[in-house]
Amino acid sequence: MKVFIWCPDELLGGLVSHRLRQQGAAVADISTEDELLAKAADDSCNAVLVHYSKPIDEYCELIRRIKSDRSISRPAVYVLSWVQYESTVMSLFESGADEYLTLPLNLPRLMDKLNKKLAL
Amino acid sequence: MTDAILSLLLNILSGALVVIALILAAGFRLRRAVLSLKASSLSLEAQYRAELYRFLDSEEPVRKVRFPLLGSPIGASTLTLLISKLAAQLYGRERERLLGLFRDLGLEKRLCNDICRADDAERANLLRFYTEIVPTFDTLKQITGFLRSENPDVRLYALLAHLNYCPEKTADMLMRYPHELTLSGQKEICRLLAARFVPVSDCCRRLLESGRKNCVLLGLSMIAYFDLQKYRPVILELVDSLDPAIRDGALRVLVIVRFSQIDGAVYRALDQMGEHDRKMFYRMLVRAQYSTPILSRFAKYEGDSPLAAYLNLMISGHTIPLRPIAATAH
Repeated sequence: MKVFIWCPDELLGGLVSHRLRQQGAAVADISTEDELLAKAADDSCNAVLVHYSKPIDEYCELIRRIKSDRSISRPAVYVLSWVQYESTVMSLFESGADEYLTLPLNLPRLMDKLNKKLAL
Repeated sequence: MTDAILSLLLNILSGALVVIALILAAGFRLRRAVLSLKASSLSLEAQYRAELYRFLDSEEPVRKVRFPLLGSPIGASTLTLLISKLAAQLYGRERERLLGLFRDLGLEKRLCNDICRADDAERANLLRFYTEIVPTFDTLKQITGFLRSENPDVRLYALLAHLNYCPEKTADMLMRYPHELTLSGQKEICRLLAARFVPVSDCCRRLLESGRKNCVLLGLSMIAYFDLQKYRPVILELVDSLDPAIRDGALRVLVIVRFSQIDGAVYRALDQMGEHDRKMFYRMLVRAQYSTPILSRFAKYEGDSPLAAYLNLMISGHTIPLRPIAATAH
């Protein structure tokens, strides 16, 4: 199983990567949007974890591209964020996000969701 | 006689050379120590991070965790920073384990002592840790005095530490807090309440009803931050406030929550505003893509550069009819 993590917070991203690796997943840390799209096209992944910190439109567009690009194998997209606005969450779901988890993060809950989705 | 003077001079010279050599050697040693400390702080962070991840994965007690050089000031500050950053983003068992580690390693006592000894700038920086880490009652007693500090940052972070200890009593605490709260301070409080999952509806009602400026402004920020729909009518009432700070706060929140029924109260407030505030409010409305009839109300304020207003409208995709240019006599 392969999971891509795009998290500007190295500490949190590192913890999630560490936990996923412990459970046997192959994890790739991504630092830019282009890198994410390129890697996702080259190497099929099962899930993408995005830590949302930029303007919402950029994420919606990115998720739309991930979900609509035929060269990418339609991974499950998980978004982590502090933002709790209903409109923001709805926009992300409309653009194709599978899960939206608000920070502070309950790590076991995220792992449960990933386990169920990916059957790690 | 001359020999005696010469030997004395030689003795003094050799003594001076020995002292200079000792000073240089001490300088080199000090420099090496500083460089090695810098290098060790960088490698320490990586080591501590790996150890923290391992600790969170396991069920092992704190006494079995090994953090090298934790006794040094660099070690303690590096670990405090890592724990506070990580604890802020986590919830549940992981957070509790991190906070337990912080206390059991004696970092809290050390941090508290540092806060009491530091100057104001450093103190504010250190107090910030307590916005992420819940302080103990003993710590709270020691930092209560900083609520009356002359430095606004120290006051704010001391207040946030108190709210973090008991976030359910935010309204009571704010009603007793005599100093003005900045917009960033209000946002910090909202962020803290969100991070601690405190039910905010009742707290917001009490703040809005209190009539105190600080409390009402925080209540308004809470409406915007938590998108509290049922208090939206209150925003319109506050737009009519005689206090300019409350009026401007209400208008700001009105736009943030994208309130659609902008009515007479808002237009009356426009008349009372200064030119600068009116321009700022106008820009907020344009950014939030309010409709042309609302925006065109600004056209009557001749001093606010109607041309700039028109250009803003065009940029934001609105179309308004141009006023016919009066025929000029040649």
